[in-house]
Amino acid sequence: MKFITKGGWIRSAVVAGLLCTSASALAEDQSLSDRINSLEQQVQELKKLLAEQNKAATPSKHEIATIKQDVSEIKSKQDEWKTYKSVVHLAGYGAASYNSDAGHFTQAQFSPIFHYSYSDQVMMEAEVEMAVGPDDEAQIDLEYASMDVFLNDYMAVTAGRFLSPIGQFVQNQHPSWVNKMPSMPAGFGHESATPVSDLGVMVHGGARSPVGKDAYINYAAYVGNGPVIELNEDGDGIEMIAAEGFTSDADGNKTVGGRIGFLPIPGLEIGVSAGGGNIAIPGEANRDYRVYDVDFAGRWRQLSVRGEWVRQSISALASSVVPDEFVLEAWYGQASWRFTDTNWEAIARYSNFDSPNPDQAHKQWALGLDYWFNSHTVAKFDYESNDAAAGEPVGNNRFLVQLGYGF
Amino acid sequence: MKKILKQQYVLALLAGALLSVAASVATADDQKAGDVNRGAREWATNCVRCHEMRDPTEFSDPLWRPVILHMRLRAGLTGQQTRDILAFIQASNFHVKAPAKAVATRSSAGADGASVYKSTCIACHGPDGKGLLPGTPNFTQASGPLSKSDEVLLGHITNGFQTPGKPLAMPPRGGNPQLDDNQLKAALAYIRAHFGP
Repeated sequence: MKFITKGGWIRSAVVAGLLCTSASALAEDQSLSDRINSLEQQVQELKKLLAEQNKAATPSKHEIATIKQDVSEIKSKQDEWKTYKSVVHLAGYGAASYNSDAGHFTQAQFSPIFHYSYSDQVMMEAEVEMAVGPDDEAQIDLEYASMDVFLNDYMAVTAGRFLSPIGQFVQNQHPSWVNKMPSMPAGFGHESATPVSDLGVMVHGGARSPVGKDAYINYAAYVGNGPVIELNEDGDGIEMIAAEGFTSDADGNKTVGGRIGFLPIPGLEIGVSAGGGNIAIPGEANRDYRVYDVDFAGRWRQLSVRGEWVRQSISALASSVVPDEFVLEAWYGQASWRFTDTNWEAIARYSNFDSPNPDQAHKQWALGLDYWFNSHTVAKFDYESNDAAAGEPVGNNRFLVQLGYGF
Repeated sequence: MKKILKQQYVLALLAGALLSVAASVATADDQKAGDVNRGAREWATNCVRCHEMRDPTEFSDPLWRPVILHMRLRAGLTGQQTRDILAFIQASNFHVKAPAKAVATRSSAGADGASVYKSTCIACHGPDGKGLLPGTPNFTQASGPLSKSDEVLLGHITNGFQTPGKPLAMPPRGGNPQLDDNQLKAALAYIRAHFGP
């Protein structure tokens, strides 16, 4: 007798299979459930963590008010410069040179310029020139020291020792980082045909020109103590008309003068200057002092041109120890070309200084090459061909190398 | 002696009268704030009369004030020219690497590129795009700046750019923070259309 029928085996197998499947499914369900529970727990923990972080990141009203106050204080500090009325600034220039005619280094110069400004109403400025002198001693000179009051948009008043507004070279071209050559043009600078400075009062400024669309004019008018006649060592000739801003006024005469500049188009300026007064050697009668000057400067792309003519004169006086008329006259023309996409600039200059004194008068051709490290630091390489009376040192040709720096 | 005294008295009277008149003169131009666009043109045309162009990033904003006042005296500038130049320089003395954001908040869709170029860019790049100042590039050259992509050029214009070895940097947004991105794009389009090789 069969205990279990064939059908029963089949049914049993099916049931067993179903039971196994169910058991397996149950096991998987449990596993999934465990995993779901674990994930849910993690989500809850993350939610809790996020809530805590959000709570910490949300500032309170007090914190917001504090932050706003801090920002306001910082902003006011950054804007304070706009309300600072007094500003002190140190500028200046320096130079060091080698002169082949002397065979050694001949110049070490440092000229600080002090600026003080109060709002846009007042400025005080002074330039001290410190250099090693020809006797190897330190030489300290006060180039200018003045106070400037800006009356309005068109006029400022300057009082003190100021650079002469006659012409352009002395006032604007003499600093080592501005002058493209290591030397001054013949007849320009100290002890030459140009007045250097005066001590007095000057009014100057600029305005739109009534003629021309974008044209401007600028002007300067001054009264000062004027120049002094310097005699030579023997006392029988005039050595120089010294216009260097003296506080003394031995002859009691004042000099008046000024300049008008016209800028017809951007990049071009033409100026005319004149001055005069009486001048006398102490103890003698007055003589006429006159100075005339014409200057121009223009720039177009890489080309820069400038020139100036100046004439200083003292009239004749029959009763004087030096009775003859004394005239100093000089002029120069300069052109320079800045090579595109380089720091190099080529310069050519011709200058002529006429003086009754043979140790002063000379003509000069100068060719130079400048390398601009930046806009205010320049190395200058220059050759000068000079033509003077035989045996005069001003007639020697020379190579000059100079490092000039402005700050 | 009497003649000398009389001359000096006359001079003093004339000077006093002149100063009195000058001090009382006040026109509509007085006290106008500096304009960056005008300042760019004044800076480009006046400084070069005497010397090389000084980089605006050379000094901080406060220090530029006495410097520009000193230059007003030397160059015979008007007060308005002085304020304009100062406004341009103080807007331009960003460090070139600092990204600049436009001050303007309104969109200027449909901005006029010609107007932007002729008011801001022309001071340095010139009316013909060939450059007015040493170091400014020539747009008309085939190998010039216009050979670069718009993306690169807009980056330069927006953030400022200085070619290595060149003396001056182009300030961010041409030194005019009022220009927004649309205006810069319009200016670049104008430059390509008018100066492209």
